[in-house]
Amino acid sequence: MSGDSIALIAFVVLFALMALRVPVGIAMGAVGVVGFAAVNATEPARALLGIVPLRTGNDYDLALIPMFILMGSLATASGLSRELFRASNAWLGHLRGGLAIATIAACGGFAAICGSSVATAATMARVALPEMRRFGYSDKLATGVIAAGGTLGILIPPSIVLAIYGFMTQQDIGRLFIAGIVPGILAVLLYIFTVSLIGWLNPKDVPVGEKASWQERKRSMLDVWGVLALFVFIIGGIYAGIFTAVEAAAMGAVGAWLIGILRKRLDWPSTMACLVESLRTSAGIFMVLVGAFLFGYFLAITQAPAHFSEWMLGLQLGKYGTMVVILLAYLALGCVMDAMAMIILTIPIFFPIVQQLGFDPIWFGVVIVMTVELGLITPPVGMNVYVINGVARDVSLVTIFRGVAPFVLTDIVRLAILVAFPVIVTFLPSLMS
Amino acid sequence: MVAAADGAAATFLAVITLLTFSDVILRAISKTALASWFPHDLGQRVLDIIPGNVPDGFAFGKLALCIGLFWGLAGCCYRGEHIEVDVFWQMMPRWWRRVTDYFAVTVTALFMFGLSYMTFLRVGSVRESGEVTPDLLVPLWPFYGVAWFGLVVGTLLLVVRFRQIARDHHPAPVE
Repeated sequence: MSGDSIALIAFVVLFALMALRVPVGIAMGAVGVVGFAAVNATEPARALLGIVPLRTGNDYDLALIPMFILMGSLATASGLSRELFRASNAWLGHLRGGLAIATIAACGGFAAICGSSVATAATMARVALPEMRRFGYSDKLATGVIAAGGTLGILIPPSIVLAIYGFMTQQDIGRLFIAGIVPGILAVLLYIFTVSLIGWLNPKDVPVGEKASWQERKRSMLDVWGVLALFVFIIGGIYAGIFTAVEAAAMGAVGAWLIGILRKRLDWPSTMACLVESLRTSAGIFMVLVGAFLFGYFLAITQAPAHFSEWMLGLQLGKYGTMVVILLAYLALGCVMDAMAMIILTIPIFFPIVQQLGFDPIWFGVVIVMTVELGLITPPVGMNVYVINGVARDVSLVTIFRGVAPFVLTDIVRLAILVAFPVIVTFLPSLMS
Repeated sequence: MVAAADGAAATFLAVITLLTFSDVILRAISKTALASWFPHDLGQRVLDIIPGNVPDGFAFGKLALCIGLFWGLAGCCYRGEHIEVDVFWQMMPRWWRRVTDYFAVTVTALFMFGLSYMTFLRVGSVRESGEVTPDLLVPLWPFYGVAWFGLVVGTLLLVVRFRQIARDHHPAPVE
């Protein structure tokens, strides 16, 4: 049997195992080891099982994942989400759809500390949804705004998914973070534009809020300046080359903890709870990475990725035609798979093609992260939608999916802009030393 | 047992965070402040005497990360908090869900058992090779041994999870 056939069978078994709810990392690892043994020999396959987890666990770059998660967790426990929402509302609430706009701005601010979309959506749903309902926003718009705003967590640095992409493709994670800034700001602005457009089309559904006094605005900023300064400090530090992404993560985590302690929002039990939560989330990611490396070794000896790459390039779709096919594949996979698992599984296959086509790897990282984030708000998986449904049980999934539809269109437009003008992504990283 | 695993993992995350933080601070002090506080020659001599970073901070940081992740995995196994594809499972009737859960836990347990066994052998080979940290020459194998024990705990906790599925009791994820 040829290597390609074995790889194909392995993919079928892998998807079957994942469909049967075997954890993604375990499924990839098991199929990888068994496949390696089938193609090569049992002894080296077993040896891989002993070497890969210890080597992956010992990779210092991986440390930034638990530490950035910890930073977000500590900021959340300190009540940052509520304060960000209050500050955004004080400044933007008086506009038509002001609360919705404030929610998007708060999601953007929260994403700057928390690298997880699901966490951003879950946290903001608890804070912003009751307020929007109180002021007469339709459930459709209110939940749609939060689901879409939540996706900012995956793009605006520090992004855990971008870090994993960098880890797997050996790209500079600091550059990837910097590359995510302008697309992140563009996302916030386009979402705000979408809310304004909805307000212009349906003024009754999108009320105008009360204008806050300057004193209220100033007071609201007092609550959030510390954490926002922390974000500027760590991202500025990465940009200026003062510290690496891993060091920035440690500075961020300790900084968030100190801010929480000084403001009397954190104590020992809550700190411990944040540590436990962060480590457990990271361990889940670690298992997927271990599985991906085991599966990657297996794929490498079958030479299937190289053959697939040749086949894709042989279709002669052109540089951008091939990119469109890759992005469509990500969109399709996003309907059934977790964003992180999807990137980890597909990078060994698509990344060599992208390199051969001459695309900038940093640009590709940002673009695929944006593509997979669509999977967070599109049916049937739409993780953010399910999370919001968990918070607002009385709002149906259909209503939330309908509410998020205009933002999906916005995302597609944004994706097209970034594909047409890669410089939007690559400009800032190109200025780094 | 799961609380102990969680606590151990969390402690190691705190260790690596503080080690990395201290490393940055120490470097900043030694490279910037001392150089400007003292005359050039003296500053250079002081810089030569004091270390530019925590001795073996990098090595201990990596080891703490490894231990923390392996012990974190134990908690993940117990609570079923691995990254999974749930979309098909959610469409299944209750009885099939339970069968699927049995299957998933069994595959996970078999993999974890294999992982634990091979990691144990790997720890043995690291011990025989006498690998040590670069600065303080501390042997690596005891750290790997602690990490390996996290895998063993994770495998044992999967047995507990299997029993819980049989009793239709799923431990709630930590909020």
